[in-house]
Amino acid sequence: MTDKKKLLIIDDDKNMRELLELEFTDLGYLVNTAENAFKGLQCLKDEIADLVILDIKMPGMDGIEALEKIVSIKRELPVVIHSAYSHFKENYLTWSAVAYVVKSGNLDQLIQTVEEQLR
Amino acid sequence: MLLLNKKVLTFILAGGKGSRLYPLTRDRSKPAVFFAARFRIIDFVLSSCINSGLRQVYLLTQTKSLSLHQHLRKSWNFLPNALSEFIAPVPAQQRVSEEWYSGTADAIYQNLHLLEDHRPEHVFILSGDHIYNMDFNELYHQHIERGADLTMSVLAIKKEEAASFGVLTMDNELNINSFIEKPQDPSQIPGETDECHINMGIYLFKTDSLVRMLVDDARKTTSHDFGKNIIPAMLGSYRVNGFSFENSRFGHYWRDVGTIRSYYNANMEFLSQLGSRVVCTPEWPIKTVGTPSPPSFFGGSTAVSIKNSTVDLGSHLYNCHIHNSLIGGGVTIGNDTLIENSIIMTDCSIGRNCTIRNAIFDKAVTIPDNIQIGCDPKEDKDRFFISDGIVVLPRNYIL
Repeated sequence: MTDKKKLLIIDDDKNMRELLELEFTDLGYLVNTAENAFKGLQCLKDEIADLVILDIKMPGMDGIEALEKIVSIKRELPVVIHSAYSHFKENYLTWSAVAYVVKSGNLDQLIQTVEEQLR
Repeated sequence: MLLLNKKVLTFILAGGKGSRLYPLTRDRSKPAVFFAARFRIIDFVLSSCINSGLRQVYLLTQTKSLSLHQHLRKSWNFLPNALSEFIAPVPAQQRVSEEWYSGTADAIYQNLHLLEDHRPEHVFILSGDHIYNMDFNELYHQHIERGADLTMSVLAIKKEEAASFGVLTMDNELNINSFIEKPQDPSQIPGETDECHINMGIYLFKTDSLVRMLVDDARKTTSHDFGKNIIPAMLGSYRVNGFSFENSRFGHYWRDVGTIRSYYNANMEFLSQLGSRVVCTPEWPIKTVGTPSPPSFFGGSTAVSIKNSTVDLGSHLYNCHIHNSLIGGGVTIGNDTLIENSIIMTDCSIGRNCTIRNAIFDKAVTIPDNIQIGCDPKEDKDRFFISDGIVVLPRNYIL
């Protein structure tokens, strides 16, 4: 048995997925990734996650629709939105997320947010 | 000043099953049940919306919604889209999840996309289940003046009647400081002997506050209900105010018609001077479906006797006696029939020499000659559906 926390990263940007996977694995998390929202939702049905890091602008189902579906199937699962765009913060449909972090070269804020949520 | 130009969106919760109104709700939801043999219950809140200037209105429907949708299409489909005005039914769509609406708050939560589309500053959430008139401008102005996150209309009623409602207490500044849904021992109004303040299901929210509460509630295992969850959770951290319905423009009449008995009583009350003149006034018209019917016809060789009753358009009455009753449109009543203290809805046909007392006939009931209803309780019990001591014949019933 491991007490490592499990993250699911849903992001269509391969580089971002790999960067986050490396960073959070180094920090001691178990990391699972999905390249689109459909695969992400399937991961949540198949495996346990303690937190989801969710991109918004993705082909097909976007992060906003995915967030609604995550809340409906995993009511208490925290979701952190991680988007290159800040204006979605005003969108009521993103308010179900526990936090909203704008993408940047520095991952400190995202790491801090994830740690706070899983503390 | 009308609310027409304000950034306000209105939701009417119109999915009520109305289980205790069975069999009137056998084929339709509660808001679609007839009232006064002419209107539908929903007509009252919709009329108040239109008369107040609330003209961006979504009706959230769920169970047995066809009748309500048809009524809305026939009667309430007149606002100009070109002016961004509408009354639009929104059926439960399972858009967000694979579940139907699990509570009043969930109904709004599952339609958050409509709030995002319109971006209103304030949101009215109204129940489609009650008989009343209200000028929503008054509540709106209090809400704005006081900077409230939620303003809810409250009514003072006798303590013994309060236990089936949400009961609240309010300070002199109108701040609501406690709220309990259906309490065993309702809190009384300070200084009053035996009255309590109840929730009328009329809410005006600041949109941001509403959304924050809904998304927070959606994350929890609750009943997802405004009365049970949202309002109690707001107390203490949000500004929640009461609006005194009694002190408002039409504040003397509000009826919850949740049971057959309360429905019957409200209809009979409508007949009295108090009911009809209070609920239907020229300056606050109640709209409903306008069918192209001819005037009613009163025929036969002797006079038709009608006392303290109403008869809608397109009915044919022959040598009959109508006392203290509401007769809908397109109804036929034969010679020597007596109808007393009864509600006969649209398109019913009643034969000759019948006696009908203390009964409710839903739409399109057919009764042959020489039938007695409401005269012998034992005989009625063997033949008809009785609720709260009242014979209720369901839609399309043919005896």
